[in-house]
Amino acid sequence: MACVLFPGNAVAGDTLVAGVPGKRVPPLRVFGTRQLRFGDVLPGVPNSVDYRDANAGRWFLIGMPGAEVDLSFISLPGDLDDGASSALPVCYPTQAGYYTFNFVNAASAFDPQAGTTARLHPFWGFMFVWLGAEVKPTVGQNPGGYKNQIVLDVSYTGN
Amino acid sequence: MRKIFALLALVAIMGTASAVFAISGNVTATANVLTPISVTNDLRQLDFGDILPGINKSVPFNDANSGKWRVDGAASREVAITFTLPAGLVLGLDSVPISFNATDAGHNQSDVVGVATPFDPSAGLTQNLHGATGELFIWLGGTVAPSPTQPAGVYTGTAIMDVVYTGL
Repeated sequence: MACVLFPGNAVAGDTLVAGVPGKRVPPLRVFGTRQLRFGDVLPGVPNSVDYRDANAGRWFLIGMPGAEVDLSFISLPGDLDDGASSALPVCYPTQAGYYTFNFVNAASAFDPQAGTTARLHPFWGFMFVWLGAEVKPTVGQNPGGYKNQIVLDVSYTGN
Repeated sequence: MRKIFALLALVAIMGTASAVFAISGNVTATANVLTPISVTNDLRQLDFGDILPGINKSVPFNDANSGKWRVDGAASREVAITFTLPAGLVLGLDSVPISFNATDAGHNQSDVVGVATPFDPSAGLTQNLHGATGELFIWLGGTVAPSPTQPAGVYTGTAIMDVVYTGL
C-alpha cells in the first residue's frame, strides 16, 4: 500500500475494484480547496450562500477515471461556533453540486443531506463538489468570528 | 484448482471491502457576525412643557425639547426605522391629542441636529449608519392640541422606535 499524505486532506491507498479481480485502481484523494465563507453577517439578517456562489465551499476529488463514487457529507454542522459559548445556526436549504471540471455552472445539483453517487471524469478522474448553506443569526447574536468543519466522505461504489 | 478458488474468493472479499472504504475532505465554514443594533432610549424626552387649554403647541424636531435617540451598530450598514406613535397623551381618563406631520422627525449620522434631514415619522426611514462610528441620531417633534376644557395636569405618552438591519 502506498500512501502520500497531504496536510489537511485524506488519501486512500491502492485498492482493488470489486468484481474485477486483480485490477488495481488509483487511490481516491479528496481535497478541501475553498472555505464556505458567509463573510460579514448582520444580527437578525439571514445570509445565504448558493453552491454556485464564489464563496461556496469546494472540494476536489481525484481517483480512477470513470469510476463511480459515493458522495456524502458525514458532518453538516447545525451551528458555527465562536470558540466561546455562542452558536450561529446554519442550515442547508440550498443544494450542493458536482461536476467533472471546475465549472460550477455546469454542475449537477443534489441534496447535501441525502448525498449522491457520481462518476469521475472518464479520462482524468477528476471531480469537483460545491456546497452552499444559510446562517440565521439572532437579533442579539454575539459579534465575532464563527466557524465549523464540514466533512465530505467519498468512496468507490465498485461500479 | 482449490487454491485458485480460494484466491478468487479472497480477491472478491478484498474487492467488496474496498468498495466501502471511504476517505474524507474537510472544508471550514466561516462567518463574521457584526455588531448588533443598540438604541439609547430617552437620550432626551419630547417635552411640550406648559400648554394652555385650547391652544395647540408644536415642538419641531430640531428644537431643544424634541425627543432624541441614538442608534449604534455596524458602520455603514443600512437600518430600517419605524415608529409606533401615540394618538394622545394621557392623564387618567383624559387625553390630549398629539399628531406628527411629514417633517416632524429628523436624522443625522452625527449629533448635530442643525444639519439633520427631516422625514415623516409615520412613514419610517431607511438610512445608513455612520461609516466610522456606526451611529445614527434620530429626533422627533410633534404637535399637541388640548381642548378649551382640557383638565390640568401632566399628560404622558410613549413613542416607540424600532430599528432593524435591512441586510444592505
